[in-house]
Amino acid sequence: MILQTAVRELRAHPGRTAFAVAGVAVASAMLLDMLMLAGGLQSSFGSLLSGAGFELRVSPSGTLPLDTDATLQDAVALAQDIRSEPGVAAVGSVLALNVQVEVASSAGADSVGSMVFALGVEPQVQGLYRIVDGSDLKGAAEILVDVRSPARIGDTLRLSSVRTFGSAAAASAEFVVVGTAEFVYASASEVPVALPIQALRELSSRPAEASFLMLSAEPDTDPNALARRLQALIPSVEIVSIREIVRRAEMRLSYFRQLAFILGSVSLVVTALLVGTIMAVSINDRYGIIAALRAIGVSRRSIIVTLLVETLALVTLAGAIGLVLGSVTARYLESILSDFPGLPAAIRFFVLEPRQLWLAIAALVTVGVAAALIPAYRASTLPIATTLHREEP
Amino acid sequence: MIASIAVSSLALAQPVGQELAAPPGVGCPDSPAPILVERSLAKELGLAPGERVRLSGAAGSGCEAIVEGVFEPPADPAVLARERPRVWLHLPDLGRISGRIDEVDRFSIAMRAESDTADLRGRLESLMPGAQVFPSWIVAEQSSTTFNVVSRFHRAIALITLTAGGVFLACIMTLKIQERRTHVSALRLAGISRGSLARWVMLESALISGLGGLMGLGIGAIASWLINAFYQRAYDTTLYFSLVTRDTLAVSLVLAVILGFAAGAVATWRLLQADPLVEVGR
Amino acid sequence: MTRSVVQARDVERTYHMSGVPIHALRGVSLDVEAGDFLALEGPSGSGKSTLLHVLGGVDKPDAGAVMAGATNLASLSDAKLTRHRLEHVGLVFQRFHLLPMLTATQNVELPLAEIGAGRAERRQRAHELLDRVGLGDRLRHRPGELSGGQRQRVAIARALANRPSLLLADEPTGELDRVTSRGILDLFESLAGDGTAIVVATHDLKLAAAASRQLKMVDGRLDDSDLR
Repeated sequence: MILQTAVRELRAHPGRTAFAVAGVAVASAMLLDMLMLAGGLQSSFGSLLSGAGFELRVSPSGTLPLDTDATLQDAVALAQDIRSEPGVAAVGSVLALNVQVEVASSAGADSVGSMVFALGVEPQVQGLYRIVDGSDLKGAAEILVDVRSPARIGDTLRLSSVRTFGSAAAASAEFVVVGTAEFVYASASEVPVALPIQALRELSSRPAEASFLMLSAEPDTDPNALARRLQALIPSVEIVSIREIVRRAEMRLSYFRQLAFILGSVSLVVTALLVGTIMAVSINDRYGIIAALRAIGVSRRSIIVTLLVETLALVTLAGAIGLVLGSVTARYLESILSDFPGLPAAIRFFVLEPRQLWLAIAALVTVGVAAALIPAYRASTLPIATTLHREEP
Repeated sequence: MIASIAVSSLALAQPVGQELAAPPGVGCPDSPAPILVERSLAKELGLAPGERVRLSGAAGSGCEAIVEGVFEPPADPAVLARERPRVWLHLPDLGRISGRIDEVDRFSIAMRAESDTADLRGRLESLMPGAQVFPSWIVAEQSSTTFNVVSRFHRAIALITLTAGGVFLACIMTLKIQERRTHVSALRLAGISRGSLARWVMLESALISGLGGLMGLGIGAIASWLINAFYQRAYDTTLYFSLVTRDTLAVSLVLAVILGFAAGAVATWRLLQADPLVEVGR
Repeated sequence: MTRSVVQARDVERTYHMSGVPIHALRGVSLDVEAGDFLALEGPSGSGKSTLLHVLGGVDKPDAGAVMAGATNLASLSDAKLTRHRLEHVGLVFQRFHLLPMLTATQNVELPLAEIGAGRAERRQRAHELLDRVGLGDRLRHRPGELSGGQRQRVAIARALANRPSLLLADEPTGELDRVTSRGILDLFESLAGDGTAIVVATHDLKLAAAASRQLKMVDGRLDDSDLR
């Protein structure tokens, strides 16, 4: 009967209820968005990094992979040394450079020169791309292009290094496109290519260099322990786990977490103010009835419970609408943040996980009910006689 | 690479027309290389001018260097989140230590006043295959992309917050005005016109909006001060992260009054539509 | 020998309004027995409502005692007093104070739900009472769909839900027309005949005249000449 009474009270004032629901819904949407933002980057980036299956990265000392132009010297020997260590399942070398590319279209010789980000990889040990069409790299003169590239399978690309200026001709070589791929870490504006690392080394005259190494651990080896052990063995490089990379990336983008916390808190304050005010006004309107109910023997507890159930109904309805609204606004905000330069296109700032949903619901309900507690308590402790006297003509 | 960035900076110091000396061999310079150290690094390592350090690069390790000075980097938002502080050294010294003899990441070119930038750009690109030549404004634009994204994000958040605030305001105004419906209805029955009542209620709404808006400006100014205090300390910079300008103040206040007024108008309209006899009879 | 339902002994009650003391009850003593139909008359502000509230345990006196059987109501905690009202007292208000969003049946069920009665029991009792007050065909109507007299009947039915020994009504016909008031009067007479003690505060002379006892209140005191 309490629930019935509560719901009917809300329905009895449709205008007021609609406004209240709208207000709490918008606050709920903001709260959900901020919860999604608070953990989104960590979740998304972490998934992206661990999706490749390589738990560790080796990069020049003091840097993270592709942080700077610095490279690992003697990378071939380094990779071999690491490969021989117990607990290491596989080591893949990657050299990343900007090169100039000319595309000779399959219909004729229509060449357009442009810069492209080239990844030199060991195809059998890589976690940077997934083949969409065609085949993986097998030969030294083969190349993979991004699915968004205008080049097609069978096209011939001429790559030239950009390492030197001046009148001396840059080194160049031709490669045949054998497949198209999705590059896991490519940003929205990048259209990378992948070719055998040895070919890129020769093109760029960097015979033994690598931008970074990707390591996978044996199934029964703890990656973090392996990272610590290798770091102690090879102090001249940076050996980091995915968790550490995510942590450092998060530190750089800590602003979003802070913003999420502030705006999430503001949403809860707005919810509290709105629910508190609505319930206070609504209860004020009903002082006469409440006093009469108390007079006929309805206990304080029953009054409080009824009013809190009413609040719960309001917050639940508004929260449900808000959660849907929050999903929509999150997409809008995501579309803005996805323009961040250099971030992999697969990264998401707003990630909805069950934990965040439950947290949003719990926070809304708790704050809403707490805000209504004061007016509800005041109503339950009304001086009955005085109130009746005031309400009667 | 630290080396590369420093190289491009020092390239500016080379006067135009003066040829560079023939590059020396790789390895440590013959005498301690003079360096300038960024303030935060000097603080972290406890360095002062005159102190000696060792530099290591691909081609030279443990090369002795002498701190000639400590510098404060310009307050540049583009390098705000950079984790590693910088040192500056002479191009030839850096080349020897890093093994990148006769290499730079970029040149900066100062033009004569009457020169044609576009023409020079084309000639340079054809002279140097693989090189990209950008006018400074493009560089500035591209390096501002991050902040443009952040600005757009802030505007979107502001829009959502304004919407939430507007709905909240409409709700509160409606409730507060509805609280008075019996009194207002009694006054209507007593002969007070709708117009007079509307003016009375709207004036109150405008006052509440105005006062609330002013309070909000105060809170915003305090929040802005707190934001700057926090982030300037966190990033050890003199950059301003939040600026309260006259325009911001004016727009905020006007929006608050308009929203409050509009909310009050909607609530008043609803109130004056009700049948006063029914309201008084409640 | 009739049973005493409630006794007031030298009851005093003072309110303070804007710092000014209002002596609503000054040394009032009264016995109400089962089957009594007692009318309290008096001008506005004479203390009629205050006396009703004190007798029903809605308000506590500043001095004196209000005994319901062997229990001094003034000594009870708020929770126990609330329970006392729920089980032993029925209250009828001039403004009815029905919940507008509930039906007549649901309004009557409220005290039964509070006491813990099951759904079927509540429904049956509510229907019985509404039948008794002549609203057997208005069970699903909301207060807004009922006339003033019908609303008052629903309020009376609600007051009788838990079979109280004492029914207190404050100006029950204050907002009703003459014909409707007559119907309410008939109902009260019937209830008194069944053994319910009824105390009515009223300006309605006809209602007062129909009561088995009339007491006049002036300035917080009961007129001695009418006291039994």
